[in-house]
Amino acid sequence: MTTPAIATQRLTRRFGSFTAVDDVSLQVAPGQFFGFLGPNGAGKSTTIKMLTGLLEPTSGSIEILGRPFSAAALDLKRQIGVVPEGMALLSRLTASEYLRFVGSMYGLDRETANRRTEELLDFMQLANEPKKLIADFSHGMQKKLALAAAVIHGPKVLFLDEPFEGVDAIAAGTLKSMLQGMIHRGATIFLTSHVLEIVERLCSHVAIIHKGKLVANGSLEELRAGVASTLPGAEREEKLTLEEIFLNTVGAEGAEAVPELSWLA
Amino acid sequence: MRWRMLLNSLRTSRGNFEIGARIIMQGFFSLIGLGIGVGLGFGAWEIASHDSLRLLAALLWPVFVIWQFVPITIASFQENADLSIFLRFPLNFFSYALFYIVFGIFDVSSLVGGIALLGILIGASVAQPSLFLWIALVLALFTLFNILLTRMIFSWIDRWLAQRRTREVLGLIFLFLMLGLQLLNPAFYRHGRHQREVSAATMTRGLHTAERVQNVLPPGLAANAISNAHTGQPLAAGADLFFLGLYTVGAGTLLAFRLSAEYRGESLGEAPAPAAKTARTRSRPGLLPGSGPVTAVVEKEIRYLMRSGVMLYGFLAPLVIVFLFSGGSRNGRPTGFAGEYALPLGVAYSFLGLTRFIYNNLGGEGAGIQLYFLSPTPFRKVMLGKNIVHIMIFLVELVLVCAILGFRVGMPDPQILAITFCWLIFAVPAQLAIGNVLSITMPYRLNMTRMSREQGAAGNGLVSLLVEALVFAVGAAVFIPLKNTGRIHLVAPILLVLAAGSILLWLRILSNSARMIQARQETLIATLYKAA
Repeated sequence: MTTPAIATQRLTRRFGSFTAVDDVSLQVAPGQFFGFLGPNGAGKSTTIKMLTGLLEPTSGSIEILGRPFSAAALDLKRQIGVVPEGMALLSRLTASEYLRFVGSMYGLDRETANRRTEELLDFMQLANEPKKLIADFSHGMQKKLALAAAVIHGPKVLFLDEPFEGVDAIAAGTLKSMLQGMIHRGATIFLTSHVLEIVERLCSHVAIIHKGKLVANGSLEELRAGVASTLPGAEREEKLTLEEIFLNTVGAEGAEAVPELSWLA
Repeated sequence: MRWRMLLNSLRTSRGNFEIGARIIMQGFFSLIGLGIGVGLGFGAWEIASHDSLRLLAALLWPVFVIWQFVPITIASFQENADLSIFLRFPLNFFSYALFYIVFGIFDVSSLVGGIALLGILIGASVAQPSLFLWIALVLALFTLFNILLTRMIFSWIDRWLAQRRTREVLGLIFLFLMLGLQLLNPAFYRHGRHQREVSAATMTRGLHTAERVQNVLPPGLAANAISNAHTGQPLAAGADLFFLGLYTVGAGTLLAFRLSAEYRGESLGEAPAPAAKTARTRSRPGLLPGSGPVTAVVEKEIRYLMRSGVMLYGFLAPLVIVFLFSGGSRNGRPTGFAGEYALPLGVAYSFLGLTRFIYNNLGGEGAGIQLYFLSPTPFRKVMLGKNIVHIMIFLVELVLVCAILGFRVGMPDPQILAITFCWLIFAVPAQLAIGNVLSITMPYRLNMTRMSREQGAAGNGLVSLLVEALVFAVGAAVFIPLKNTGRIHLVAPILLVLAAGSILLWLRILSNSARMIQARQETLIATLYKAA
């Protein structure tokens, strides 16, 4: 039995009396492109923060590459890459300065960090303005840079929190191409996103979290079959999109009567 | 909105501490202001009682200096607004400007200056009750002038420090100004131990010139307006008030000119002008030889420092005061930083400019703080890198202070020099140790492009002031008794023993920094990244 790249056991996080993540147990096999979906405020970012050491769980356990993970597990941190919420950029540096800094922080020697920095900047098409500070980058450029920083040390597991948010189609294409290349070389990617079309195209497995609880988990086909079985006969025959799966799974509970805003033009 | 924000901040223990610190700081400076106000009030009463109201200028000038120069030199304690967040609302320019002026009006200088002027008003009005309304009007206009001038100066400093080109120009102006003051003003000139004697006639001429000059400057105009009203010269009084009003309008106009650019959506970023874009080039490799996380942090900190006019300003501003006050004398005796204690006093004062560096060394990280939690680099290496840069800055500051003082008052006594160095070996690690603790436990977000004091700075500011005072007091407590008992030769060894303790403390805190920051990880991210 293959050791999961990512495994959680009854992962829980409370903020006072509020339970943001409630008893989440999941496994991600090595080489999987795993999508983690949920409505706003469902607990996606909280989960990914716990998985990356940015937030301490209230209870439960996390294993990365078969080993217990915590914020103090520095060896494991060398093997994971993260694009967190907020991207963790240092706004007063240029792109190359930032990448070399991140490379050093992940233990790369100067020569390797320099070489990979240049390659990544070329790949991400960020090399044309070497003196531009990150503070002056567009949102899409910042996303590309954050992804470059997440992979500079060649991680085996990559966590991406909303990597396509605010990114245009061209930049999204670059990101997708890089991520697919990593999967082909055996990396595992754990991704949260609201852009369901991209998740559907990239991810082989998906989990859906709603109000802190895991409400769906499996391959896309498994989820389709599960939702289809609940539908009336005619609709069962159509191939469901991920959006339809998502809405069927969470939409019924989340739908509330929305008042009409008669003053809106 | 601000009241609501204040109430919401009381929900957390940190918020309560912050408000408590603000109350203490405001209370402390209010007491200072009260003391000054009472003193100046008695002075004003005395002057008004003797019908010499023109001498009120002698009271108004110190108020003006305190109001304008103290905030410039202690910028970290000044509250200035970054109101760009309001630009998306349909706010007219007048409202925007009013926000800017009113927001943070209760800062230290306004508090002290306002109370001082209130003292003068009361003192002069008690002696001359019939002039109460006129004095109130004049001093109200003088108050408005000072508020607008302070705001104007900071708004322009923000602008000039925001971009590299103007920062470089400002740096050159600063350098030439320092050299020019040295060359042009014989009253400040002292060379080594030879004091140039100034004749009584020269002094009298100087005083007459100074009086003529000050009569057309705001403090002099305010005093003359009151005096002329008292002596039954309403036209002259009105003219003085009018010219004071012109100064006020001038300060307001310059402020409005600056604010209008912000209102139109000016960006103070470092982006090069479009014409400056060149063909694709590779950026230079690292600043320092070697590799590793500590070197990387040192390089990054240096880059941040060189790109932040605000940080550079905080670093250089105290040197201006050291320069200005290092050549003073009264009755032939040196005052201020001059004299045998010039070096330790100058060094201690220059520490004030390094407060932001040392006591809030994570404040400028922003979202980048998350990188330190994500990376496998132990946090003690990050802190070590930052502290190495702090030590480098200390050394540069020390060299500059020595250079300034050596140039103006001559080389210090070798014994004082040695004692100062021993005190520094104690003081620097002690401050770094406490600074690391405060940076983790009481961080506040720093805006690297503006001189705005962010929420959370009061508590940190209060504790850092107390620590700096304590460190200096320890040195004084060792030095003064031993000097007075003729055992000054024991000062250096005792300070070195204390230095060993502070170095151990620093190393201990470094090694515990990972544990400390882990315990406060969420708070740090929330404060530095999420806080608006």
